[in-house]
Amino acid sequence: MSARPLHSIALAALLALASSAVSAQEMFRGDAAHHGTAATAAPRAFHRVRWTFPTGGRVVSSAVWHDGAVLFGSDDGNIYAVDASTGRQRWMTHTGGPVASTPAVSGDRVFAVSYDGRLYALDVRSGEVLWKFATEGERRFEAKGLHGMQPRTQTFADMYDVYLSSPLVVDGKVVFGSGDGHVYAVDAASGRLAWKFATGDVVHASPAYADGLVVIGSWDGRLYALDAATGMQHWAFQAGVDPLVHNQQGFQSSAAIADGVVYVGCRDGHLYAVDLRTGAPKWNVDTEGSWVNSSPGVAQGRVYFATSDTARYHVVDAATGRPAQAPGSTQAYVFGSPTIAGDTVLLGVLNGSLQARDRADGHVLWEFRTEAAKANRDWVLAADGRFNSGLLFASSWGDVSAEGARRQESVGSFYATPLVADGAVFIGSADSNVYAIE
Amino acid sequence: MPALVPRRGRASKPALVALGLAACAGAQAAPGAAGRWEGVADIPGRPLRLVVDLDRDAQGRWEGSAILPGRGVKGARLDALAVGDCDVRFALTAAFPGGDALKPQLALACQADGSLAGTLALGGRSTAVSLHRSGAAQVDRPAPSSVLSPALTGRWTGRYELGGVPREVALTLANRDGLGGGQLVIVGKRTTTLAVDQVTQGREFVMLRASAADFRIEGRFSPDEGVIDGGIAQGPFEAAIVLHRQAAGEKAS
Repeated sequence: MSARPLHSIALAALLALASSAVSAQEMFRGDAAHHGTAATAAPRAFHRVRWTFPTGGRVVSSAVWHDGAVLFGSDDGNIYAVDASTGRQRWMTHTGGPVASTPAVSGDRVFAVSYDGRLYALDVRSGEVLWKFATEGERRFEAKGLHGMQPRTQTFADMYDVYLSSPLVVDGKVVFGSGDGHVYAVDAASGRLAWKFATGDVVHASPAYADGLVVIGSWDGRLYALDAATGMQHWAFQAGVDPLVHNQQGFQSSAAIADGVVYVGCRDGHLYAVDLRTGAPKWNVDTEGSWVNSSPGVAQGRVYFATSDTARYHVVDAATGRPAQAPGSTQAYVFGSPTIAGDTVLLGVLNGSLQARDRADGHVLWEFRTEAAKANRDWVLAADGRFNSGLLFASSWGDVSAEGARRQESVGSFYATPLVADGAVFIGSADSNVYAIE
Repeated sequence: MPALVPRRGRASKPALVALGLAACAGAQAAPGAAGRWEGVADIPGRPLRLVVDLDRDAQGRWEGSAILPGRGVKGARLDALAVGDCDVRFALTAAFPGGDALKPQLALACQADGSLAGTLALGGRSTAVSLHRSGAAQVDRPAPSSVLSPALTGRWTGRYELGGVPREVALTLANRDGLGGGQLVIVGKRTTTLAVDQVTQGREFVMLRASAADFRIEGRFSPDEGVIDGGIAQGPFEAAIVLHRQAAGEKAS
């Protein structure tokens, strides 16, 4: 046998592998079970920014991959498809509100949720609107005296409720949560309601799926397992509630499911492991009151997640919850989720830093910082990369707190989760840009 | 000062050959003002980021659009765009709420370092702007209206209720100059007539817009049943509407 056919076969096999690999990155966290793994390796060193794509608004949405393009939403109200190689826009479709959800591609369609309270179904090649499904309307989580803001009798919308639920496509249905408190399943072809399930509060986490069950948390403090076919509740797991200031309450993190176990972070200061069949708790990690908004990644017996206030990167044993590595500092709050790509773990941080860590020992391999983070106007960041909270939050009065939160993002916070594909890392920032880094 | 656009009628033959070679080199050569320009307008205390795309259309006319990162603006059209030998001027009315009153205008001139610099005038004030070329132009062009299928053209009627007040709607759609458009008559406490200047007909979905009032109707289009089932929207206000196609000569019930 000559070398040429061997080479051709190997090349074809490689291409097929690459094709199947990238096709798995077509929804939030990469797959229906939300493992957060990329099938292709990430760069082990920072070489350059391949391109920067400016939008008109904060990019909270994470990018997904389809046919050589990255698809994402922006708070400017648009859903975009951008050529992954060149950074040129393939199409842009306008919605009636910020698109703070991550799109999901299924077949020839892409689905995304907008703050106009609608689920959009678009043609993935052209962006043409195929149908819209209207919920009862979007809203942020809100509570009186939220986070200790004053006046304590005033109802405040949570400025940290930044995400919308990212749709999951399973068995021909698009499943997503809504600010109206429901979990919806909509027929992917027709856009007609299949079922809906009422929770007690805003649902901005994203549904995960395994073994016929949809698992999703609500701001009511419960994690629900629903029958994917009917929407009937299978079980509910009650996490902590905080009737005083509602700070230590609610699921902003989306669950990951592996080997019959659900892993999910909670704003009550824990990462939980729960039995998929019964909802019985298996173990938890106490994060000392720090929110776990990050959605965990799971691979090869390890759970990867990060915290907000304590700014730590954790790797724990999936069976026991015990540390598999010493926690590492992320410098600042993390809301985004880790992407496990070969021997590298990528994580966006709210201080405008994208960190690539060695998967084996957690040390930082490289770091990309936005220009806004480097400029650090108004000293939003302290010298060690943490937020200058004393400068940002002059008082606990509501408007002052909300303004402080907005100023935090001015360094180009990475709320989004990195997409690894085509030898690059794609991630959106609060500076309105989407970056392709290689 | 380097020119943005090569002056006509002055080049020698060798220069023309050189220009031709440069053109053959393709996109590597910066074609004058065409490109993506990024920079900042120095509004005191709140610098305004600007991304401006300038290019020529198929007829060779200059066109452009702007992105204002962080202000929710992507693809705002540049009005009154004028590109000279070494200057660019345009209005950015579409990029600012109340733009008609604020009269946002940019006047830029080319600089020795290849950048564009000048002023942004806005609301009677003026500040410095500096833009540098960051790549090839990506002008956002407004989608043209669809050519409407015969099943969509004609007269449609429906009813919606807003704030407890019922409104009767009569919609007439037609292809004019090869593109869809029409007229919308809304009868409530008073009668409002609007030109429908944007119609997007997809396979299953129709979107209509009367831009003068930012009034929209959209919904699922069922050609066989002669129904558009959806809603109206104007700013934050929304209401359900079902439009039925009227047969020729039929009066609304």
